[in-house]
Amino acid sequence: MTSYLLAIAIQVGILMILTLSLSIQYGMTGLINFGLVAFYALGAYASGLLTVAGWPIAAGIGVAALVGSLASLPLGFIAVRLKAEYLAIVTLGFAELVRLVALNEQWLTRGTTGLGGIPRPFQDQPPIVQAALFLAVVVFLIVVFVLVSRRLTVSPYGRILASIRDNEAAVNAIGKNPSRFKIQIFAIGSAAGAVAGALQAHYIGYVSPDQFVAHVTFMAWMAMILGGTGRVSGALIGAFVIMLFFEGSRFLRDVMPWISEVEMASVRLAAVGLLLILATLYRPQGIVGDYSSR
Amino acid sequence: MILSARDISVSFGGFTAVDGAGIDVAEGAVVGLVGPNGAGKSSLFGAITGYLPASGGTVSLDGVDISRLPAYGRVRRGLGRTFQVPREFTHLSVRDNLSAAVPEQSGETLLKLFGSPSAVRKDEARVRRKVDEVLEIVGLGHVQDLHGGSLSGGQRKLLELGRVLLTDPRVVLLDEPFGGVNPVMIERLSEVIKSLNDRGVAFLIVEHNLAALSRLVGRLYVMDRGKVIAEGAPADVLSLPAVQDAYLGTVA
Ligand SMILES: Nc1ncnc2c1ncn2[C@@H]1O[C@H](COP(=O)(O)OP(=O)(O)OP(=O)(O)O)[C@@H](O)[C@H]1O
Ligand SMILES: [Mg+2]
Repeated sequence: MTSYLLAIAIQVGILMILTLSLSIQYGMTGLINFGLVAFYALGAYASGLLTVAGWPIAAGIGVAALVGSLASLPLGFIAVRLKAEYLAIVTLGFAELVRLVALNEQWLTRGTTGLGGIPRPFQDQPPIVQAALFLAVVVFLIVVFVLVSRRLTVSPYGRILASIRDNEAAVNAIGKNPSRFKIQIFAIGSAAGAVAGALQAHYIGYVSPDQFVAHVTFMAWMAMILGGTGRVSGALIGAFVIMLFFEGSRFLRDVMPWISEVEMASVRLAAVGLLLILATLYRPQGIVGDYSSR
Repeated sequence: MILSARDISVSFGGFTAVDGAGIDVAEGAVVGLVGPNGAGKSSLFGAITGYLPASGGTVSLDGVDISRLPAYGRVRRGLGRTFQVPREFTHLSVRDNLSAAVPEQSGETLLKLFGSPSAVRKDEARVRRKVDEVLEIVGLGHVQDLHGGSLSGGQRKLLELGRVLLTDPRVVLLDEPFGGVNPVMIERLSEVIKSLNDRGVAFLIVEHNLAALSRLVGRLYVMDRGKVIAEGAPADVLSLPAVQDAYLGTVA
């Protein structure tokens, strides 16, 4: 039971980091990233490849963050020239591109076979201790991104972000370049997404293209919308509730034994959809609300 | 000339809103720009400040061509503006509205934000002092904690003026500063404009309230249908037949 709970806690933690990534991008400057999974995949492959080649895991995760933010830059530069909706489409396309590269560039990613043998940290420890230590690393990184988010919002920098959310045209009139801030925020959020991917890679010890489907992106979006767009606590609570719901509904099978595994997956998604609809009806600002309502 | 706009044209689709208009503002001058509704005054402002793409013409600030700079870049060079419909940050407090406008803040760069918190803290003290100064000038100290969106129309104009002031402008373009503002507030705004002008800030003011405008400006431009049709001392210009026609023409 303990190891099951630890496993779930680690998944919740990784989803929290993914949701923080969106919450930084969307909540702070309204950037819509429908290709979050691309950065997750880039982080997973970057850290996976480097650590397989002998790099230490911490360095792999660091480089993953760097790769994620660098990869976001061209998209960021395109995005600030276009309306918000276009970034949604561009990122969606980018996610597909990354998945196709992972699938086809066999020399690098080993294609569908996947990249195995990715080192898992604390391997000399007994399994429970190993999982507990891994969870500690995840929690540590959550704290890092929460503190970063806080610094970005409660500061002169955050004052400009709030101004951009309020009236972007007027930000130009006070001599500040909104694009600079948006590109930076997009990069920081993308780094978080990549770190989540790296953690997942080191947790499972294996990456393959079929882990990087749109479902990952939408789990994080559901979590953010449910918790409240843009507030750090919203991202954390949303991720927790979504995961609780998905895992909890696993036990529904005991109640409804006539449903097959495949059907069950659909039922769970439908249930989450219903939860989201109810949440938006009865609590449109999310469980904890957004920045402007604090 | 602190500000010089030459042959500015602005089109919306096939419609030419500004048609080769030119305007000069001398160092430290207060200049008016009037004309009937739809004459193209705000569009000309847009082109001068980089908010609207000009299809022709050049803008120079203190002899330097700034036509290719983005809007925020022109502000940094000392060209400030307000909007016909005030664009205060509605969800930010009055103080934050002003604080955001202080240039060159350490806490607005990622490097300093995460690299040297003490420098950021020190700089915030500087920002607070500058904002205190401007709150005093525009007289909004008593509402500094209210949201920008909860201010009255006149207070919003003052807030926008204060925000522009913090960018250290050399010339400020005001688009209808007295629009929808009561007479007492018009006096207040005029006083602020005069006292800033005494400190060397030049103004170009679009305004339909000719009486209030005449008390501020030394020179007046008149626009009609995208073109400058007259310029000179306010009294002379306003008595010209062509100017009378332009105004009456839109009524008829
Ligand atoms: N964004 C736009 N798209 C299309 N046409 C526009 C746009 N902005 C202005 N116009 C048109 O350009 C012309 C000039 O408008 P502008 O706002 O510059 O006039 P104005 O002199 O400032 O008038 P007012 O005194 O009413 O503010 C008008 O006919 C207006 O309808
Ligand atoms: Mg106008």
